[in-house]
Amino acid sequence: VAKVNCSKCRKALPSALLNEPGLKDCPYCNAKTQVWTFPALVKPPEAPRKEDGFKFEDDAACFYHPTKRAVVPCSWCGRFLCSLCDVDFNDEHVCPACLVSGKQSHKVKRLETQRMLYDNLAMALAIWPMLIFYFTVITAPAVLFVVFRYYKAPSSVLPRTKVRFYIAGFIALLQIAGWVTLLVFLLS
Amino acid sequence: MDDPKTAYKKLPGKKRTSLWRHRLYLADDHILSVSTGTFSFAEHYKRFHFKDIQAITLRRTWSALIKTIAAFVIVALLALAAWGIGQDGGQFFAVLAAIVLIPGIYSLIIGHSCRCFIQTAVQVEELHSLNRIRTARKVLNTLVPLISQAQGEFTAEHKGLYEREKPSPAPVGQQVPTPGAP
Repeated sequence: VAKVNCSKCRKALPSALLNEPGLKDCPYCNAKTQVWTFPALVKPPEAPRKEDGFKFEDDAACFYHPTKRAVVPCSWCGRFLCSLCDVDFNDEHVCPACLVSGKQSHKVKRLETQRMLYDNLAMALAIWPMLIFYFTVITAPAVLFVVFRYYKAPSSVLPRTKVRFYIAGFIALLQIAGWVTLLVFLLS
Repeated sequence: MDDPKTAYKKLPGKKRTSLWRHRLYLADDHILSVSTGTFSFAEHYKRFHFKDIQAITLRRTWSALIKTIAAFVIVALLALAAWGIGQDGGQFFAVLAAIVLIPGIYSLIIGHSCRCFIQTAVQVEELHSLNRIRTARKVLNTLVPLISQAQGEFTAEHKGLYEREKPSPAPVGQQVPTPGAP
């Protein structure tokens, strides 16, 4: 059974404080605290499954552990899995290899812990160098590179439009046009 | 392997520092905590599935009150300076006082600050976006029924199980004091 600790003094809170309405004083540090607890707090760890064990002649074997008995097929690739290889993911039985490939190919959003926002990068590259205008000689082509290279790259897992790419590209084109005009003016 | 498109609903509350922006989103079966780096141009995600959440802790802090008091002290000093200098240079200080007054009043209106933590079997994470009690309560009024729906209610039987388990002894020199003891 896990314990709920006070977020200030880190000491285990007594059960009298759990699910009480309103803020209550921590008995150790007097910090005003309110705690909501759920049954997962006292849930015992899962016991090993009965069907787990070594394979007999007629049993199907695990794809990854040929000596172990298969208990379930992978929901994505169909390989037979023993209980060790069986990962419960979104109420599906999945093998670790599928999870790894799903994460690497960005096909399983729920496994991703980080996404690069290239549109924000393009916007920053387009706007900030304008403070010292000379830098835009380098950054304007860089913005165009980012826009064309990463336009189709996976963006945020949250709904997000491509409008930042368009704005950044437009600003970069204006900067390039400005430099070309200046160059033509100077040469003429 | 198809990943069904998850519809995220933005929850109230946000926190912005010079380096990070924090927000919370609600999906069908989990909460998504999003931290966006100002200079790293990346979003970092933490998902808390309803069935894994063990506890949510809210603790009132004094930081907002201290900042509000500081803002009003500065406003008072600036107003005093504006009154002392008179009409010529005083207007500058009066405008400055008005500028400082706005965040002070805003902080007063939105109420007490707090820190909110979510506990699962493997981690205790702070929900940075829930930094005001009023906002936190609004969000938790939405979340708690959803979590209870996924796990069931925390009954007296569960409370009994929690009570039965003794906390691990504190290290020497950090003994846990008895509640109510002097």
